[in-house]
Amino acid sequence: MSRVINYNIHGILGIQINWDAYPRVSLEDLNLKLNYFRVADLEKPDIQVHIGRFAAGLDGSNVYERKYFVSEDSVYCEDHMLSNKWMIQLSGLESMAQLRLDVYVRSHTLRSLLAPGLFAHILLIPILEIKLLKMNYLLLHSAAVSKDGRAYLLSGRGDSFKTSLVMNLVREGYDYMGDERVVVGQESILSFPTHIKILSFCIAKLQDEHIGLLDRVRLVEFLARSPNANLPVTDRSRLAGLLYLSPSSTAFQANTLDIETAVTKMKYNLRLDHHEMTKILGVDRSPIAGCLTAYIASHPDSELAKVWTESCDRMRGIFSNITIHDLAIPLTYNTETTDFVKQFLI
Amino acid sequence: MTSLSAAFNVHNLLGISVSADRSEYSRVVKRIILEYTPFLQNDVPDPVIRIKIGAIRERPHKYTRVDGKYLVNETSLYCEDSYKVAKWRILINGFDSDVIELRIEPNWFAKDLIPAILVTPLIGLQLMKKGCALVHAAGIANAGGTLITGFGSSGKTASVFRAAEKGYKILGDDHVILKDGHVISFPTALSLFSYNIPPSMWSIPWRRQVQQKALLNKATFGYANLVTKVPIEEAFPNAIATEAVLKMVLLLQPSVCDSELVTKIERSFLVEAWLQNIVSEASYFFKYLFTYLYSNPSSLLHNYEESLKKLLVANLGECKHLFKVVFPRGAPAEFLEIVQGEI
Repeated sequence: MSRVINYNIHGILGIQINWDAYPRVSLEDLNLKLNYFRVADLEKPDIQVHIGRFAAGLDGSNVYERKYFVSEDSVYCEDHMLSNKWMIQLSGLESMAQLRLDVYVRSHTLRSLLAPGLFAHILLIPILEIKLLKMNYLLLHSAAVSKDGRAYLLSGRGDSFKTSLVMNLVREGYDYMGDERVVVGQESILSFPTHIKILSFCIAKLQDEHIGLLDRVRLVEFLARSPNANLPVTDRSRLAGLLYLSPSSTAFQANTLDIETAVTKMKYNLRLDHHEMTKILGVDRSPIAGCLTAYIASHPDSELAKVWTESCDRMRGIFSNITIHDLAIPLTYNTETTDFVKQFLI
Repeated sequence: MTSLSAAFNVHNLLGISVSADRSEYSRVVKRIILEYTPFLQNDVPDPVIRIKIGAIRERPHKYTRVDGKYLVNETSLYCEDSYKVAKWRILINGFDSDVIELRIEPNWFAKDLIPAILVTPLIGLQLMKKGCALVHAAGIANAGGTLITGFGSSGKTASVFRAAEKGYKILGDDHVILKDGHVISFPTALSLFSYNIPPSMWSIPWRRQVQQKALLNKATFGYANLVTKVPIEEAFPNAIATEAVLKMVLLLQPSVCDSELVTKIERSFLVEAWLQNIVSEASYFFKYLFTYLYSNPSSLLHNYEESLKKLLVANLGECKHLFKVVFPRGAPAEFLEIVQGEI
């Protein structure tokens, strides 16, 4: 059964996902990252995702590491690990006006992890990041909350308690904008809620972001019983501060960061994101990072090659008028952490 | 010298010491010796890379945890990592200082990965601090030096074999050092796979080993992809050169096409391709370095990629002949002749 899902990200950017063959029974739907942005119709998608078999036109392509095929406008990658096989093609890279991602996955073992829809959504994030940048927005790896029209970015790598903090701050009356990523424009933050239903469950039922085995069962029950129990999202707010969260073996500590340091930190945060997924697939490099690298090596003067410098320049512009702190917090989460962080949300 | 320690001197540019604390790690030391045999010395006075293989019990003092697995402070990074069945713990100390200490606790399978994913990139980092660049390229020399570069599996090793048959001297198979317009040898052990040995070389003594590993690769659906390592001196006896003036750089570009095409390229093009190549080739090392830089954004290395590009441009010296060689994949071209014709 074929199927189409449309997403509209704040009227900035439209995404369309096409499944050739959508499974009859799938839990994917509950968990798709971008559900918040689902719309019925979309006029002209900026990013088109196609999940299913596709034919790659390889004639004239440059070959990298025997698995990446780069042409003027696209990059194709074909790889496998044991019985998992994936083919990815990213096209529209020359003008970057309209991007297209083709994904085909064949997996026998890690079925749940490699469900094509989830796989495509993970691949989509770096592409979204690039496309938004070309439209003068940043997609930053940060959580965000807002109060009285002032928004704060809570930035940190994995396991830095972004989600737990957001959960507790929301309970204390802050507005939710995103717990993993947010869209940042000039002086304003736009929401980017991911896994919003799971987060609703966590806020309603759990102490912190740690979901135990029993909680998983309760989660499924929760999702089935209250499919519309979404927490309210604030879509737009003015950027007032940036906090880096650094779980640390020392006690609570706060340092003010200057703009260059903050930009460098955010740059490497984004760079490290491109290494994600390597664990799921058992490869040493994320396929999408490999695709982008091969394309840039082949076209050093392309629009894509300028992405990193451009994103740093944008960050410099956006962060120049706000206060930036690096907060050392304990290695295990507790309510004192929320109290400590709250002092800097002023 | 026991099999539990070794020392290397890389052209008096930098010294490396290796030691292991238990006999079970002697195979790791041996593997490192195999990789860097031409640089082996009895003793190196002030090594700037100190490698210690053994159990790591201590953790960095006053650390920050990144991604739940890296423990980082102002000078060091600790983590446990893995690739397929290979697992290792590492503690890298002194990213920003003149002397870097690398401590490794590898499992049985990690032996072959250590030189390529940790030691060679560290040598690159330390050479950078001394103003020269370790580039991912094969180097050959007759009158002047030629670099043959390209991403993994682009035909560097196969080209080295062909050049050796034609009487070229060899400067390195995988990496060479660039310094002020000169190519300095970095003759690490050859990495042989069934696909990078030209048919004319099928008489080589390691043929059986290569074939067996290719078979194992097929049997495990590509999971086990074992390399056959051969000291470069054994493969090319009396053909190793140490230095040459850089005359030409050939960027190999396998392609889905029917015929060869040689085009002149700009320095900026070559350098960007090199940078992407290095970051993808040493992806583990860069994951560690970027994690360190995320935690220490004021580090001297914070602009690593830009500095590396500048360094590469500067060390290309006067070299004018930069070419991209596009050729049908799977059939490495006789490009040395083609390029000679171009010049």
